[in-house]
Amino acid sequence: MVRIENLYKTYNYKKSTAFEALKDINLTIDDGEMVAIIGKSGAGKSTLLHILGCIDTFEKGSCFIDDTDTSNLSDRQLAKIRNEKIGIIMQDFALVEDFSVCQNVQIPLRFAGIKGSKAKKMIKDALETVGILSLSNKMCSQLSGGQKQRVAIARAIVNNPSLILADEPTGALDSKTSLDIMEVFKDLHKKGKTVIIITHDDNVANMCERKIAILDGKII
Amino acid sequence: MYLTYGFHIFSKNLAANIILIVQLTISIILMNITLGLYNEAYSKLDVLYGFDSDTVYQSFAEQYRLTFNEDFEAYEEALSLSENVKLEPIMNGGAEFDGCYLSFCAYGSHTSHSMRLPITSGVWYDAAEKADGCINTVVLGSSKYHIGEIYTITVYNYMTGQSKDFKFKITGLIDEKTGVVLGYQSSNFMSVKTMFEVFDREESGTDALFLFNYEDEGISDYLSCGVFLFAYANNGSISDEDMSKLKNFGYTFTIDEIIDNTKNDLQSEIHSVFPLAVSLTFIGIVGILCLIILNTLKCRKTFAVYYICGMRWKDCIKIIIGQILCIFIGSLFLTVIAGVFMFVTNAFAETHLLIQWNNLFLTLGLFAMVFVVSLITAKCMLSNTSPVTDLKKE
Repeated sequence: MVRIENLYKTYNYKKSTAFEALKDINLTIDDGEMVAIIGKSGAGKSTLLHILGCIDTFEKGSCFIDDTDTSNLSDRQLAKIRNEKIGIIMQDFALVEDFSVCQNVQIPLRFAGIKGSKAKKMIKDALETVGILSLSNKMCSQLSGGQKQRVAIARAIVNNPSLILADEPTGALDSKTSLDIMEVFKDLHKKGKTVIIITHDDNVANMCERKIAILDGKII
Repeated sequence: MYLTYGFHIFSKNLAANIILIVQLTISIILMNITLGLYNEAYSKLDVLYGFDSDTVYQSFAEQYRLTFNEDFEAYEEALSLSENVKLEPIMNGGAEFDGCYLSFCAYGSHTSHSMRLPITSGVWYDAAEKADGCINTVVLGSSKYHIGEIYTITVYNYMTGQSKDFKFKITGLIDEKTGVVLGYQSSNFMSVKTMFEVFDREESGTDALFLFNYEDEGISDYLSCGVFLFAYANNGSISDEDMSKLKNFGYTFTIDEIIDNTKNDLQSEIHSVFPLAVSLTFIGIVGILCLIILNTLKCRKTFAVYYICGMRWKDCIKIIIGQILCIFIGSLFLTVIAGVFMFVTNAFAETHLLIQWNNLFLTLGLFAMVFVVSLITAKCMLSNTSPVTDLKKE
């Protein structure tokens, strides 16, 4: 379960250029939900996702991932949560272009210290789930946008996290590929994963169970 | 894992990294040559410091005078020095033993006591207890002679045709590369470079060099004088009159003059190598820093990817360490290959590159300095950025 209470995020905190990106956010997402966070550009969607993904900090409030308050955790503990509990997918795929598909998917496993046959099996399972097992030895730079996003999803799920966070996962894809990718997310949702998708595409949002709208840093 | 990712960054700029590795290797070799020059000169100067600089002088007889004065006593008489001065020649000789030829280099008591060469094992012959009827000897060259062993060797006097058995007791061994005052050559410019010679087994056609005191067991009758001698004042210093007589008969230098000449010689040699070594090292350090900055800028997004996958942001430095280690390992590998090549081709003798602990410490110190400066630079760069902003970069 994901729970946010009275959360505030200010960029350039305590500086003259300070900008309040999130204001008094309160939010609960249950296990196994598939949620779309929608809003205009600059509304604070991505900032919220970064906080949920433990890759950004906040000044006030609390953020709970599986009842663990992430605001009190050390760097090491946050890294462990990112590695074990959360899978993050970015709009531009965030892949290491000169790695192969297999090497990219292996990254979280290496930080988790999983090696050998166990790692190979987990990579194979992840690639099978997203339907790109045949591409495992290809270099990422040789892949299409849709294939890259599948690699990113495979990397996000390889460690079997309970929470999948996707920031505009279809933003760089054509409509057909977008639908294919959304099908992958729906499959993950059916397998019991909590999926949170940031989007400003109504079609994508409509494919989710619940929509949360943000405007000027506030949930409306 | 971090080393693997470091190697990945290293391999992305392979050409630039290889240039850097070659340059670092050249810097290290040049720095070591500079240090090698110091090592060589100062190891021999240490021997000279064993002499009393106030009372000890050395003189070279000119080559023709030696031929004229085969009898050293006649030579002393010709010099007509005062009672205050004692002359000690360097005597040479040889013998055949166990199917091999041996060379002898013998010094007088005063010289034996003052000039103690650096021993690899055992003690200098003058410092060992004298066994009855034996000549204490230090050996350089063949490894078949062992400390404590006594060897009976027949020595011939080529002038009279007589021979006599002498017992040589080995008290110490010297490294083959150690320079020895053999007394073979004279020069009008005396520094440790001309004074100390490396005993060449091949050139001399002998298996080993025996160093001992020629005053022991009457062996001086079976040796001949070299062109080199030491003059000692029995009390005080050598008078101007004696000094001018010595100078009339050959090249004469005080120990202090030799030390000064050596230092001046060393300065001029180092001036030809040191600036290049320092420049290349400086360029190498700047090159590494530029590469670290460039790679860190280029790889920030990759680091951000690792971050979202479960790495701590501060662990980026471990990846950069991995990259720097790849450069260092490459440089060390190339340096070792260059060292082996120089050793095999005997280039050490040409370049004065002596392998000593201070060479190793200098090399490691140089690496450590470059390593620390690189890490500080990388750390500063990473502290001024965040994974969230880097993730958004194209």
